[in-house]
Amino acid sequence: MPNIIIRKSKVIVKQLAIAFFFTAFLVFLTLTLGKNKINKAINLVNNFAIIENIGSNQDKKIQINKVTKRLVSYPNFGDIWAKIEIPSANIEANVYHGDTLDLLKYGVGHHAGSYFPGEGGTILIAGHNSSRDFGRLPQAKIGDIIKIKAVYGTYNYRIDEYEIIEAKALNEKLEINDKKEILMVYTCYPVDTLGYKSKRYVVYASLVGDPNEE
Amino acid sequence: MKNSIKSIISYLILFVESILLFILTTLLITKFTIFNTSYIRNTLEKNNYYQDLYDDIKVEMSYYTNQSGFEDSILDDTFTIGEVRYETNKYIENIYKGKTLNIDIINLQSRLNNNINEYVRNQNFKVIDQKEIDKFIQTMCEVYQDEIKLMGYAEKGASIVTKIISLSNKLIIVLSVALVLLIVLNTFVLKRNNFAIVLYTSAFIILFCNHYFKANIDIKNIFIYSKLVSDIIKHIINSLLHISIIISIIYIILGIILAMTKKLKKSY
Repeated sequence: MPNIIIRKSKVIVKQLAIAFFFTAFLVFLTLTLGKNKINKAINLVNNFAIIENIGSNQDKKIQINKVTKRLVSYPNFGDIWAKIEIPSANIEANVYHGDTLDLLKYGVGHHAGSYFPGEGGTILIAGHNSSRDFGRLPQAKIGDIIKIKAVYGTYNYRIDEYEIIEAKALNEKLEINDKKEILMVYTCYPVDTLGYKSKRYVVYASLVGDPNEE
Repeated sequence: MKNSIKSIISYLILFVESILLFILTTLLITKFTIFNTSYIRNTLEKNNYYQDLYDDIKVEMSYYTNQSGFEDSILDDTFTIGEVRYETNKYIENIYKGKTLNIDIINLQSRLNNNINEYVRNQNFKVIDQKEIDKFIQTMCEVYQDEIKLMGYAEKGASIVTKIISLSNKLIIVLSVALVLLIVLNTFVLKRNNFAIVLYTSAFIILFCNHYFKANIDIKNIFIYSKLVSDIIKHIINSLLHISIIISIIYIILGIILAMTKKLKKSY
C-alpha cells in the first residue's frame, strides 16, 4: 500500500512538472510575441490609477519668487490659501484653490488654471451669490478696492469695470493670460431672485501699489 | 504508430487542451460575474452603492440650490433610495441588452415643484421669472439622470457589451466542443489519459495571470469616473482575482484526485 502511494505521488510530481513546463513555455511565448500589446494594455489600465494627494498647505511654505514672479510652491488643490475682502460691499470670504462646485460649497474658489497674485497674470475667483460669498458683489463700485490676503502677502486691486455676461460665454470672455495682472471676480446673476441663474456678474480689477509681503 | 510519436502528439494535444480550458474558465468566470446583471446588482447592494449614489445626487443637487437662492431643504423627500435603486437596476438591465433608457423624472419634477412652491410661500418670496424656476427644476432632473446614467458613459459602451456577451457565449460553446473532442481523441484514440496535466497547467496559467495582474496594475488607485464607481470596479477586480485563485486550487485538487484514482499502468 505505501508503495502504491509513493508511485502515485511520483506520477503527480511528474504531471506537475509537465504542467509547469507547459505554463512556462506558454508564458514565454506570450511575453515574447505579445509584449508590446500587453504593456500597452497595462499602461492603459494604469492611466486610470491615481495617487491620492494627501498633503496640505501646512507641509509647505508658499512663497513668491520676486525675480521669476512665480510661486516657489503652490497650494494643494482644495486648500485655503487666501482671504478676499471687498470692504465697500462688506464681503469677506476664504479663497480655496480650485473652483469646482464641491469647493464652492465651502467658500469662494480660485480657478486652478489661472495665476496667483503677484505672478503678473489673470487671477480668476468665483463664488456663489449667497450672502456669505459674493451675494453683495454688485454693491461694489468702480474705484473700490479688493484685497487678497494671501498666505505670502497682501495684494490690493482697484475695480476698473464690471459687466453681466451669459454663463455660456464665460470661457470666451474670461481669458487667462500673463500680459497684465488682472483680478476677475464673478458670481451668478441676478443675485436676488430664485431659480437657475444663466448669467454671470463679473468684476475686473487691476493691481495697485506694492504688495505687503509676509 | 510508434509509441513515442503517440506520446508527442498526446503532449501537444494536452498543451492545446490546457489553453482551451484556461480560455474557457476565463470566459465562464466573466459570464457569471461581470456579464451577469444579478452579480452586478448584488455587488452594488453589498457595496452600499445605492445609498452612496443617493447621497451623491443630493450633494450634486445642493451645489445648485445656494446659487439659485434656495436652501437645501427644498430637496427633502424629492426622491428615495428605493427609486434610485429601481432606476439604476432598470438602467443596468437595459445596458446589458444593448438598449438605452430614459430615467423616470416625473415624480422628482412634481415633488421639487411642490417643495419650491412651499418654500416661496413660507419665505414670502415673490417669483419674478417662472422660467428660471423651471430651468432650475430641469437642471436638478438632469443632475439626477446624469448621476444614475454615469453621464451616459455606460450607454456608449452598451453596444460593445452586448457584442462581447454574444461572442463570449458562442466561444464557450465552440471551446467546450473542441475540448471534449480533444479529450476523446487523447483518451480513446491515442490511449493517453492525462487530463490531470491539463487541470494543473490551467491552474498554473490562472495563478500566473493573477500574479502578473496584481504586480503590474495599481488596483487600489484605479480611478474611473468617480470614487463611487471606482470602488465598485476595484471590488469587482478583487473578487475576480479571488475567484480565479479558488478555481486554480479546485483544478489542482481535481488533478490530484484524477491522478490518485487512475490505474498506475496507464500513467506516464
